Amino acid sequence: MSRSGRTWSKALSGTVFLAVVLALPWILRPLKSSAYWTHILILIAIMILATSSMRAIFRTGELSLGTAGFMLLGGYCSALLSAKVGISPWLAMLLGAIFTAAIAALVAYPFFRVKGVYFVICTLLLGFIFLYLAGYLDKLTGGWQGFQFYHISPVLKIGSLTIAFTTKTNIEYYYLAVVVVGICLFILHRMEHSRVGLVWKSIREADQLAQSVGVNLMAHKIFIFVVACFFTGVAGGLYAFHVHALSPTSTPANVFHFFTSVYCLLYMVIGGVESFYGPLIGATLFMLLREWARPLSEYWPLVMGGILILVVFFMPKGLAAFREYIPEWSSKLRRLLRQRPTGTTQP
Amino acid sequence: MALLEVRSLTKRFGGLTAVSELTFDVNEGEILGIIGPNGAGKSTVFNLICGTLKPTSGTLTFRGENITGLPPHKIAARGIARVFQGNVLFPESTVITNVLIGMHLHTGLRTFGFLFGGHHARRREKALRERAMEILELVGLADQADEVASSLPHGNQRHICLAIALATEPRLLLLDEPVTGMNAEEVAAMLETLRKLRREQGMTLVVVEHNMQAVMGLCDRIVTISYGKKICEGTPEQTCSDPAVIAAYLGAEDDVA
Amino acid sequence: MSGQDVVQAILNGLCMGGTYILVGLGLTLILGVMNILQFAHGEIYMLGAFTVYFLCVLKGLNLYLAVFVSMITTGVVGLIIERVLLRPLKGAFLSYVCATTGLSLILQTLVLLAFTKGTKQLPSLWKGSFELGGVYISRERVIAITMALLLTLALVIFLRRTKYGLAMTASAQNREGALMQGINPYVMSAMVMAIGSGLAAVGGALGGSIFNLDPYMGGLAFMKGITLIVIGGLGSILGAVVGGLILGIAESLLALFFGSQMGIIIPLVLVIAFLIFRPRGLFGHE
Repeated sequence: MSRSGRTWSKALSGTVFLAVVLALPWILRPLKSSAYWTHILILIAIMILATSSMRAIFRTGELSLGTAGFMLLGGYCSALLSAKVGISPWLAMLLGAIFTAAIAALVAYPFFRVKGVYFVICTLLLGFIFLYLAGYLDKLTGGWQGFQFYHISPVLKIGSLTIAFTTKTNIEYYYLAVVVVGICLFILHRMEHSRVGLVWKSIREADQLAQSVGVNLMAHKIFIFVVACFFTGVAGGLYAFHVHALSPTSTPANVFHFFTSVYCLLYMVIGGVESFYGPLIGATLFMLLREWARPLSEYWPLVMGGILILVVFFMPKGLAAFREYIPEWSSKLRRLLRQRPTGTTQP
Repeated sequence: MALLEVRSLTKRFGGLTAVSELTFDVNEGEILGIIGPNGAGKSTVFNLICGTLKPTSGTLTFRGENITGLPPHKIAARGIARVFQGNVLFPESTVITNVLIGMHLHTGLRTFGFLFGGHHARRREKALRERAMEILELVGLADQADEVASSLPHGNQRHICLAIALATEPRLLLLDEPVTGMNAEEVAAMLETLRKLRREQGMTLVVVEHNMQAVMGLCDRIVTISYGKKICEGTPEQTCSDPAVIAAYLGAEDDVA
Repeated sequence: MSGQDVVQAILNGLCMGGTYILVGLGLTLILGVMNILQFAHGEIYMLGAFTVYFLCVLKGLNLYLAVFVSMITTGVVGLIIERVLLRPLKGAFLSYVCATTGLSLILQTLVLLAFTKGTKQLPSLWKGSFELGGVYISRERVIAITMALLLTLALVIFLRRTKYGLAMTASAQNREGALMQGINPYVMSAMVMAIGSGLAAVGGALGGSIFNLDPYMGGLAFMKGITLIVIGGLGSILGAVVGGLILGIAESLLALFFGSQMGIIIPLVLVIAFLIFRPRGLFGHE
């Protein structure tokens, strides 16, 4: 297909996708449990943002498993600012994300001096520390019981129209989440396809060489780390104002538990690390699958772990690169079929 | 004043002294060779000049400025580029992308800031692409611009590495074993390219090599290092007849071309 | 709070350190020889504990015998993991992180499903407690630290005096050098996974005896393992022992003075600080 042909088909598929995304809640409306499914869609949007942030950091070759911890920071900060100080939820979400980015900036330089898997450990442990601190500072955060703030929701006033983003039908909050996540993803996408994304590529492929052509490794890594953690904080804030109840109990069901970071890793790898839309594919697919497999919910981590291992072995580029596997698999299949039933190979 | 002044450069790793009190000049427009038996410390010297390693003591002065201890990206910004040993490039990117990455210092990117697209950025990228193609013409890879770098044969990959270094528009180019692993034709082609660089662009080159014929034919002057110390500095003729050099290489038959 | 409480806390912590040491030894060996961080190691610890539960509580086997059998079977599980999961991945970073994290999810769920809900506990290793001048130390904790130190001693003897042990030490210090000596890296990886997993299993049994069993106990054990090997020094046996004891005592004292959360948070902060400022820990090399 010619260059302009490709651009047109991309634009078309993009528009169709956008239309579907915007129309989803109305498609679901006739269902009895439409509010629940819309809630799931909101969660999917939040996790897409969190996973895309993790992927953005990974574009420089570093893996951060601190997603859950930074979501905690963003969520708690936004919620507390709103519930205890009385700041409007919109501003609170922004301040929460800024706070998260500030903490990320603080730890970024020392963390990036740590090599390879130990950087991963540092981010993982940081998440744990935040979790336990949230439980320890009980006068501030409500401790292990957490705290609820059902009476606060973002409210948008346009002229005489007031839209309250409550959890009755979830529809308004869905559009809020889609818009916010959409803007953040747009920013990440533009960065990745600009000069700075090329710099990340160079750091990932050959960092010593990149340095020798003038790339300041530390500055670029810190930059994307802080930006990605900002967006993770946004995800946390979106989560907070959706569920209106936060707690640091370390059960796997809690979104601030490090399991969430592992799930994001999973969505990222299964969706495809190389593709920008990998996190989208991975998160959507798996979170929907999980809902449909509700009766098997006890087995779910087993299934996730199993699929993660299978993907690593057979589809290391993830689902986004699905088309690339077909020739490889079909040639393997052909070789297999060429063997006679007795087991000898055709010369 | 020499382009690069190396004074009493010393690097110790715990108990091991890799480079000891090394002193020499690199004059503008010359091709300087650094030779020595295996393990003499030649690559360490490059690492020290480029900022990958910090010297234990000694100074490096480039164009009058003290660059001792600067990090690699700052040294690159001052005009020193390096072609690494082996074929170190960006394997998954296309040839022209490799060169475009090499032009990092000239993209106006600074440390932060990114381009959201728009007319200004597109014009700048176009200019960069044209310059990248020029460089590829120089190394003879213009027709392979859109090939994936790792798919090229090793000889061509070496040219990509050279192109990346040239993309930084250096004043001083360090080449770590540029003709190792090449056949006679490829060696001749690379040497001619290097001579052309000096002739047409006035570039200064420092070459570390084991291939004696190549070194003797290419370099104006040679610094010989053994066990981290300089044992000779002079023209190729002087070096060949220097007793210390002969003694250092005695028995090292593989180094004789 | 009296001086006695402090001494009590120190002694308790010392003994808990024993279980941590057993987890840390495996982790540090695997890291040294295979250059990977085995994220499912905590689940191996947990598996060892549940195997003992199965053999001893459900099948009536003698506790000590059950621990021994568990050590062997868990070691075999380690072998299988190395062969099937880790060897084909050739140490590629993202692949092995995903594979071992996936494995940990699988093991947790399998154990959760295999055993009925409700808290479980292993029978006491030795009921009752010793008394030393007003301070009580439970006998099972003494057993824990004793077994940990004995196994460590056995490990050190293996590493220093046997052919394979020396080969393993060489592999841990310099993989390429060891390769050039003709040491088979696959044999080394298999061995280190088997030994590391076996040790972790005993640690699990000891830990499960002192505290309750639960399928998620592996996560915390993994964290403790990381803590002690970073503080003690990656790749160092002595470091693992000292690190484990320090961790046990520190946790106990911090919990006594500042509450149990600080007992968990402070060591984690220490790990990060060590990784940044003193990556080789107390006794590590390089």
